[in-house]
Amino acid sequence: MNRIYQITFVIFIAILALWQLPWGYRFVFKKQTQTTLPFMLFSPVSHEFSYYEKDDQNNLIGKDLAGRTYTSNELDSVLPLFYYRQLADRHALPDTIAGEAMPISKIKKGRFIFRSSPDDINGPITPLYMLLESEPKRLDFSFPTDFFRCTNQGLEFIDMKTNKIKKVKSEHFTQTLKAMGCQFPIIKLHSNPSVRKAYDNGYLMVDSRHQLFQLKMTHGEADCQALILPKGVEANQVFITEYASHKSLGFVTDMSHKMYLIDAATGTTHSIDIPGFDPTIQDIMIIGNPLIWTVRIQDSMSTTYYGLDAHDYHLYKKKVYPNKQNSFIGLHFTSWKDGYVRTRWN
Amino acid sequence: MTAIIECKNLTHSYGKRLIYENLNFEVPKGRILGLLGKNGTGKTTTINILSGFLRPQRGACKIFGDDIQSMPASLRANIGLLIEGHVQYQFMTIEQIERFYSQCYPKWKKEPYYELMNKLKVAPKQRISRMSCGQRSQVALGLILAQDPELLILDDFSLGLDPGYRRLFVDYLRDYASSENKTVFLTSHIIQDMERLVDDCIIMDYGKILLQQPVKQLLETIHCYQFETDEASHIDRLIDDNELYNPTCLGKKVELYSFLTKDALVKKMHDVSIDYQHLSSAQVNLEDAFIGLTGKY
Amino acid sequence: MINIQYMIRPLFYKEWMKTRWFLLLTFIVLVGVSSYAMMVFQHAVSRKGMEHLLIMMLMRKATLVHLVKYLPIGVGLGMAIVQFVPEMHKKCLKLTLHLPFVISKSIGVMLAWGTLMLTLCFASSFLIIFGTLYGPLPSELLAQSISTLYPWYAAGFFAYFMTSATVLEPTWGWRIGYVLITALGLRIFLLSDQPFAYTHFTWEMIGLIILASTLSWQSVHRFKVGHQD
Repeated sequence: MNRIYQITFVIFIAILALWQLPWGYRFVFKKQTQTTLPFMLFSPVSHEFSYYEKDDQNNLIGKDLAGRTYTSNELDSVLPLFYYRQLADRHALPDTIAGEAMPISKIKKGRFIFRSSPDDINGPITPLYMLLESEPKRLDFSFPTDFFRCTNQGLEFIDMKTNKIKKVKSEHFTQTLKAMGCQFPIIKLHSNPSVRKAYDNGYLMVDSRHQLFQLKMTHGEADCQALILPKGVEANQVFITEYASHKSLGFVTDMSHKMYLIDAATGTTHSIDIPGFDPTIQDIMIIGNPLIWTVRIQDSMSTTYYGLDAHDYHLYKKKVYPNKQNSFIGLHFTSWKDGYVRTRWN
Repeated sequence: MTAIIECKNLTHSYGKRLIYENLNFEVPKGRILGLLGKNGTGKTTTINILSGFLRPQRGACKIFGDDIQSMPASLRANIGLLIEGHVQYQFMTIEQIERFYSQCYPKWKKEPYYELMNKLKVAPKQRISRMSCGQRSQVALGLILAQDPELLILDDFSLGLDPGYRRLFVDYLRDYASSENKTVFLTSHIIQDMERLVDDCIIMDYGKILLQQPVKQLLETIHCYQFETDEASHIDRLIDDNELYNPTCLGKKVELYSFLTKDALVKKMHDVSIDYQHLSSAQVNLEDAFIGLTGKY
Repeated sequence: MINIQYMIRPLFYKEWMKTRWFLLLTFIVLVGVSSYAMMVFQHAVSRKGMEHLLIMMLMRKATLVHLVKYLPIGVGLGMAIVQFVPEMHKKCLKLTLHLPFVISKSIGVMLAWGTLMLTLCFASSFLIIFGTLYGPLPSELLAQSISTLYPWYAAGFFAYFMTSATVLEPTWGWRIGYVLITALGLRIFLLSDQPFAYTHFTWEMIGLIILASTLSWQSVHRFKVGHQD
């Protein structure tokens, strides 16, 4: 019997050692081996990835991947859509950039930053959602007085005050979506439930047949449209966007991790010229302006930068930085890929 | 006579310090046996082994014919254990502790316990933590009496007790053990109490048992011899003699202990050419015998 | 062979004697804190309205129960101390181990008492929270609060078993080892306060608690065969 207790004790020690020793090893040694990549942007002027770096005297020096070096003012001009304020202050902002007229208003309207991390996709969520009135009587948005949940049969609105189901509203929204061809249950949905925004695109939803829909509430009524995917493409993850340009409804990835932009005007999708983006394991940041998108995709294997044309999303250039692999396998309970505590080996 | 305790080839050490090797002894039924030994000779080790709280490195101890380490749990109902310092559950009152133990032991007799408690004149709701060591000793004894075991193992029962409580404890225990034919194995650092109580004694020296025999026989056969000599340095000739114990010399006066008769001692001293005068023999008590056999240091 | 039912009565009686005041205090504190947390909730509802509160809960992943977080650990730790320090005081455990019961079963019954009492204490706290939130909260938000609570209760059981093993252990070297295991082990239970974070870790938590519970037997065995400093 005592042998059993000894074995359980050894198991205990083994678990804690497998957890803590690799952590301790990384804590001590990783700092020495870790290299951080600079903040790089693709230049519409030089068509090269450009960035700031600190020299030995801690001075900022502009550089690009072609090996050129720049002063601060020079780099501002290489990345004029990013450093437009600095250029405008010095009255150095050109009227045209890359042959395109570029007033400040256009720059401001065309700028956006999109980010997604696996944690957002894989992490635990409370499956209740708020649908804002997209065209409020007053200009400001306000939070609704109900939540909705997705059931196998449709949407179910719950009154916050009484915790009772609003049958009429639920039925109305369910039927409107059904009329658009939606097949419940909804398997993915995304929105930006904030009242501090310029306009509201509602929800992007993926139904059980991987079709794509947009749902809004306009004057209290369901406002739904089926979005057009290229033939054979099945929607997987969706991301709503509410950028100043009003050009896009959002992004969507398909089952083979191809990424598309949803055009706000037509409801059609445009393929983005990157090899693939799997939101469940990859971190993405897109820094966009009227001419160029700089896309950075990171996962455990590598960090890849893409420079894309903002008009048709075709690829100008990419740069891959493989990550240093840590061969020290250990037991982990948390991960940057999700918010769950679970047993994992890596 | 049936042996209640049988210890064979007991060997134990703490780290590199050997306490004893191949120790053998038996305790027959109905006897009160006292274990005597100087500090560090292994008394507590033996008590711990007997009460099952120490596994000897070699050898085995059997109680009622069962190995202590693997004996059925129900057999412990037949062993009364007094822990050094008369330790009992401090958080209980004397009434609660009786109620607790009464549910554990099938042969429980609460009368002797309350009889003792009445003598102490303590309230039933008195908490044990608020009792003096003497009062606690009576609680512990009362609980053992109520348990009514065949064998009692008492570790240093006189520790912390004033003479009155010691006497009370000894008298009560002696009467109980003799009237109920109980077997008792005990240690105490006060040897006068042992003399009043025990039938047999085991005297331990470092690493071995010096002797095991009835106290009466020991006191009848051991002698303390005293004489004077002008050649005190010649006493060294007696030191290695196995039949003479701890010869000590103070000025011209020499004292030694032996189981030899006076004539046999005279012959021995003649053989080693020691001149002596005023040889006398004295009766000894158990404490003298213990010191005589084991030495003062 | 003494049947286990004959052991339960006296041993539970002894454990009750040791722990009754602590249990009363624990009950008052747990019920008090849980009730206070729920009063804060009801106060917030009356001041800002249910809608505001529920939106905050959903958007900020608030759970209303953060006040309870470290209480179960404190209760588990205290319970083990109250139960087993008196046993180790002047080696009183020898008395318990000398009772005519199978030693492993005696230890099991003592630990069962602690487990049962902790369950009752935690259940009373849980019922107050559940009872208050069940009506006004949608099931998803109720689950959000409850999912945050149960790893903390599990940590309470883990703390209880580890502290028991530590107190019952006869040598300081092993005691320090157990304290380290306790600290690291508890960290596992407190890695995340996010709702639903421990959804996929329930069996592991149960496993850790079961592992921790066996260490008390190991400590007692070491005491029994005479390990000491």
